[in-house]
Amino acid sequence: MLCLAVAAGAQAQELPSGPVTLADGRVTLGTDISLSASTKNDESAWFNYTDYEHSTLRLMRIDVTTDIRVTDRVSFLGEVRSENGQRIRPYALFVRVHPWKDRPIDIQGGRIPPTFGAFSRREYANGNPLIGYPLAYQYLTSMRADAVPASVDEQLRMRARGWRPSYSIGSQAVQTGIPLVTAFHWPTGVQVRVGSDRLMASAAVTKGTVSDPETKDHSGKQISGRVQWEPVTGLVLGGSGARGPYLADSVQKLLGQPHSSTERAVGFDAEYSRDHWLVRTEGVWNRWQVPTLPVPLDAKSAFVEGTYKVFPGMFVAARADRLTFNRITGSTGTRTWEAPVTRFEAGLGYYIQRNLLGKVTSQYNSRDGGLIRKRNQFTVQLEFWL
Amino acid sequence: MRPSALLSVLSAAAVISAGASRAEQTTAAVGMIRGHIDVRRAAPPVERRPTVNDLGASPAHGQDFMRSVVYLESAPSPAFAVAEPQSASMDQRNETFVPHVLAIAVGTTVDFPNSDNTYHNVFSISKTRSFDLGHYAAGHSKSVRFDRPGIVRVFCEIHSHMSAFILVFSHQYFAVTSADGRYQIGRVPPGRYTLDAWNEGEVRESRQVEVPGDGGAVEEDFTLR
Repeated sequence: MLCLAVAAGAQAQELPSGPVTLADGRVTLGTDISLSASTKNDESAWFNYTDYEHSTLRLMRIDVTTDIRVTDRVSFLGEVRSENGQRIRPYALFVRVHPWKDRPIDIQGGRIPPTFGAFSRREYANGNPLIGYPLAYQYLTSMRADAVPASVDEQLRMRARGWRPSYSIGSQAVQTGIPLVTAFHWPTGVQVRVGSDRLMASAAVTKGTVSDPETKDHSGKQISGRVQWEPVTGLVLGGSGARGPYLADSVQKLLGQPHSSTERAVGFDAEYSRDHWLVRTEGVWNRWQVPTLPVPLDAKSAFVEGTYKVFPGMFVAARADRLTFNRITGSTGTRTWEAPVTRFEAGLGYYIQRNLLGKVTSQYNSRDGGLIRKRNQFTVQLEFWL
Repeated sequence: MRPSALLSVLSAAAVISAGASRAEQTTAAVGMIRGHIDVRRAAPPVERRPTVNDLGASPAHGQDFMRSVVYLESAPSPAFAVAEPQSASMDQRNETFVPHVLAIAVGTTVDFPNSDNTYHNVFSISKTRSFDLGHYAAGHSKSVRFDRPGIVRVFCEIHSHMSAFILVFSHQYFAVTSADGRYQIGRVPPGRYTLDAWNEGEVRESRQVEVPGDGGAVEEDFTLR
C-alpha cells in the first residue's frame, strides 16, 4: 500500500529586490525609503531638528542613487533625496576617475562624499542601527556661518537656540544654526583616495566646511583628510582632520579688516565587530575662530554605539552620546557658549524582509539650557531599499 | 513559467507499509533521468547597491546564474530509510558564494568557510531555515544543518550583492546542472513523475516523465526562455 505524505511546506523566501540595472549593467539604480514617526513633536525642544528644518524622528526620506559606469575607469555617481515630500535635492553628484586599473587610487570631483568622519559615510539609512543621529552630526548649535555675534553676551544669549539663532552682524534671515559636522549635506570639491582594504587615505579640497558645506555665498576652501587603518579583520581605526574658513563672504566683507574665521575639526573613530557584536565609537572636536569674539569657541562630542543580533533577523542597539562646549566669560558670568547635551537611545530592529527593516527606539535627551531641558520619546521607523 | 509558490511542494515521501513492498523496492529495476538545460534567459546579476563611498571600480560578477536544479516534485522512498548524514560546502570567495546554487538532502550540514580577507556575515531569514553566523574572518568556517525541505535564500549582511540558494530536498532525486547544462538523476524507481526545472528562484518548466518498468534512461531536455 502506498500513500503519499506531503513534506513540510517549503515556501520560498521572497526574492530579494536588488538595485535596478540598465544598459547591460552599466547603469545601476538603487533606492532607499524610510518613514519615521515619533510620539512627540520636536518643535519646542529641537533636539532632533536638522538644518533642513525637519526632525529626524518624524521624517519620510526617499533617496535614489545612481551609478553610471561610462568605462571601467570612469563613473558618474549621484544621489537625490527628498524629505517629507518636499523638493528633490542633489545629495551627491560627482565623477569618479580610476586612473590606473591595478592601483587603488580614485579621483572624485563634484559634490563628493565627505572626507571627514565615519558616521557620515554610512550612506544608507540601514547603516544606522537606531533612528536618531549622533549629536555631532545632527544637533544644531547656535553657530551660524552667515552671521556673527557682536559680543560674548550676544553669543551667550543664543545658548540652546540652535534651531533659530540670530546675530547682529551678517544675515538677518531666519535660519538654523549648524552642527559640528553635517550628515545632511555633502561638500563640493575634489577628493583623492588611495589605499587598500587595510589602509586607506583620502584628502579633499572642498567649498565650505564640515559644518556647513553648502553655504552659497562662500568662496573659502577647506582642506580635509582621513586615514583609515584595519590592523586586524574586524577592527577599523580612523582619524580625520579638516580646516577652512567658515564665514560667508558677505560677513567677511561686513567685518572689513583682515581677520581669522577658521574652523578646525579633528575626529577619531573606531569600530570592532566579532560574531554577533558590532561596537563603534567616534569623537569630534571643533574649534570656530569667531572674529568678533576674544576666544575661540570649542565643541566636543563623543558617542559609543553597540549592536547585537539576538537571533536571525532581529538586533538590539544602543548609543550613548555627549556634546559639550568650552566656557566663555560675559558680563553675566562664565558659562559654556552652548548648552551641553546628553543623549541615550536604545531600540531593536527586525527584518521583515531582507530589504524591509522595522525599528523601534526610545530616545532620552537632556540639555543644560533652553525652555525644554529633558525629553524622552519613542519612535518607529520602516526602511525599504533596493 | 510557473509561480514560485509551486515550490511549496518540493517533495513527497512515499510510505510503504509491508515487508513485501520493501522486497519489491529492493529488487525492482531503477532508471535514470538525464538531459540538458539550455538557459536562454538568465537572471540578471545582482549588482552592488550603488555606493558612493567605495574605492575603485566595481568588481566583475562571479556568480553563475546558468546553473539550474532538476528534481522530481514527488518521489517514492522507503518509509524507514535512514539517510547517511551528509555534508556540503558553500565558500565565500571574492565576495561571492561558491557555488551560487546548492542542492542538498534533508539532514545535510553545510559549511560556510570564509576565503576572503574581509569579514562576511552569512545569514538567512528564510522560513525553511533561518540562521545568522555573525562576523568571522578568513580561514574560519561555521556550519548549519538543514532539517527541513524547502528553499533557503542565503545572503551576506555586509556585502548586499552576495546571495545564493540552497535547495533542501526530502528525497535524493535531484541534480544541479553541470557547467555545460547537463544533469543526471540516477536510481529512479519506475513510475510517472513530475520533473521540475528550477533556475534562480522559480520553477521555469515542469514536465511529466515516465521511467519504464524495466528501468533505463529517460532523456528530457529543457529550454528555459
